[in-house]
Amino acid sequence: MKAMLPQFGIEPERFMLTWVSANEGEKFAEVVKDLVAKVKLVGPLGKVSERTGGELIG
Amino acid sequence: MGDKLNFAFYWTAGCGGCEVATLDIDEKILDVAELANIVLWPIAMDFKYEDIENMDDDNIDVSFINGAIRNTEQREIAELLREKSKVVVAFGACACHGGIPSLGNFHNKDEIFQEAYVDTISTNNPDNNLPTPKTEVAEGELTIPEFFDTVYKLDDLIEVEYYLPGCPPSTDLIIKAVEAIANDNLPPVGSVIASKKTVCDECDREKKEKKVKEFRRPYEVDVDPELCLLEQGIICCGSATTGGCGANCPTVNMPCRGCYGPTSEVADQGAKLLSAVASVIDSDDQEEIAKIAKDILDPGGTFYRFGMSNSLLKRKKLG
Repeated sequence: MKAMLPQFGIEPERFMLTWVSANEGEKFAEVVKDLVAKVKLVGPLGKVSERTGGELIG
Repeated sequence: MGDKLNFAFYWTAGCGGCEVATLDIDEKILDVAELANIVLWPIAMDFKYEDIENMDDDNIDVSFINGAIRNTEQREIAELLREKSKVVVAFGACACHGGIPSLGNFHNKDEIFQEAYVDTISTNNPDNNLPTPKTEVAEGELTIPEFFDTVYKLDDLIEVEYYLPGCPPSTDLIIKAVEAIANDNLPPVGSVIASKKTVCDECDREKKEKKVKEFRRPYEVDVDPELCLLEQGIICCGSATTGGCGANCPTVNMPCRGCYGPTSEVADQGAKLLSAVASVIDSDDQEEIAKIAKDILDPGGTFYRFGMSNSLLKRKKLG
């Protein structure tokens, strides 16, 4: 997945894989906050129509 | 002419393999000639686009269109055939899902032109001339079709009644489709003329527990002719690919490459394949898993080999 997303032009910051146990509530919150902050920095992904240059698909 | 049907065959961004597959139905082609007048077939017969333009709407009973859509001429003729046809069949992997041409969606027009007209070793183009839609010459203006950044499947542009997938579609399925037309026994609109099951279901190889320590390309392995190819570390796309081909490739020791596209249960063939392949990696160690995954040199091209236009992401992000 990590190798494939950049092939689609998707920034690696958008993807994370980690393990959080059901009793690690605090860690879960940290992990989510961390990812949200990273994704906010990269900004929106764009719609499919923008991705294709808007030539044909609305 | 009489009661005969009118058929059109057209090719867009394809390789010609679908045309060969049409002829591969052997003597059945005579039944097709018996059944229908062919009103357009650029590879085999001389018709002009004008002949089609002058027809009434719905004059063609069935248009078989193979190939993806990547320039303005292909779009124009696809739209013209749609207007003049009662039924359009997306014929082959490219028309159904984008096919091999849609791997171009990992690049854009500029990158493709640079590679094809400048960077390739066999190219001698010192002035960096690239195709341009309009060129002024002394005699006037010359035009060629305009190339798109993105390769599209046929139903991104026009309505399609039936899908005949495969690279190329198997002769059995072509015959099945033609017989269904001849007997006026067509399935519901939107049907994919193939199996409802996967290639794995049609494959006779012995399937045991899938545990893979190393992925290898077919030429690197002395292939066991009986055992599941994926279990031998060869990436086989059979598990997420529609059957109907009779598992021809695995039968001759070649892995399924996914040309029939996703099954009806699957939204994104490449994601499903990625998930299937990831699940067979036999390790709990992060580093070892990363090392094994590195054996897959081009995951995008491997898992979306025939279906970039049909994928959820459609293409590499532009810009």
